[in-house]
Amino acid sequence: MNTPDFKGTHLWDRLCWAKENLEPVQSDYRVVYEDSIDECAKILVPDPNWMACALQGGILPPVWVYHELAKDEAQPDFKKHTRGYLLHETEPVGAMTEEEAIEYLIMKDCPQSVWQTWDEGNRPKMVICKKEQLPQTREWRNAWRISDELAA
Amino acid sequence: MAGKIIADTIETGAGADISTSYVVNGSAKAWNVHTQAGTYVLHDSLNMSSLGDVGNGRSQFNWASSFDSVYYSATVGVGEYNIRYLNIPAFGVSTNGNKTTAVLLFHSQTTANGDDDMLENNVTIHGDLA
Repeated sequence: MNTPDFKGTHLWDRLCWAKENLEPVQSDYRVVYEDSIDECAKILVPDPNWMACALQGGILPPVWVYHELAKDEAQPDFKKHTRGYLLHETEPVGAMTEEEAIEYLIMKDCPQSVWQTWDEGNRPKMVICKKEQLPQTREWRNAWRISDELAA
Repeated sequence: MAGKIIADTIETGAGADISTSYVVNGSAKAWNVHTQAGTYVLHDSLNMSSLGDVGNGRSQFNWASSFDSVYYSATVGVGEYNIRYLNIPAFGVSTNGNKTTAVLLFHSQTTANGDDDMLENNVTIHGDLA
């Protein structure tokens, strides 16, 4: 199925079209990251409908749009977004592979302090793995950390 | 057969006209059904990019289409039928810096266990999009 020409179409409307027309894709990839030494490792699970959009192409905005909105929101006098049009009017990105979609997702949903310096320091702050590689029970969940054995 | 209705207003039985934008703006802008127990699973959703497993009983929702402000509303429920009547589940959404226009932190507890993973959580979000 071809993606309609979505230039200028509200992102939410594009997502609704995808929900109606695309099969969800459950990814086996997981992103494990640590953004605080005081907190346990966090795990990102890709949304199956979002992944379908990423693989299809022509639906999602470029990731820099989210970074611009985050900058606006970080301003101390922020009340409401005034540049939401960036989500809707910026030309959507083309089709991605699953691996490219995970990279996009990292840049969108992981803190920049993690993915910009993930391999600096004594041990990695972020790991991409398959879900089968995660612990299969929730025991001691709040103590989970990225293994030291992954140290570069 | 595909069709399209274009209308600015809807007339009620009482003769009052309401704008169709009133109806559209009142629809849920995001929802999800997810499992925390075991490996987190996002079963189905609208307007999400990812689900975060951020600790025992703690989920993070990352929106695909951001809200215009942090004042959007979450309605949550549990689909886990074996929660006993004395083990009342409680849910919260964080506002202390963890709620942004792009992210919402969700927290589930039971009276018996404190922070607790649930077999099924149901979440619906209303609000205005950016």
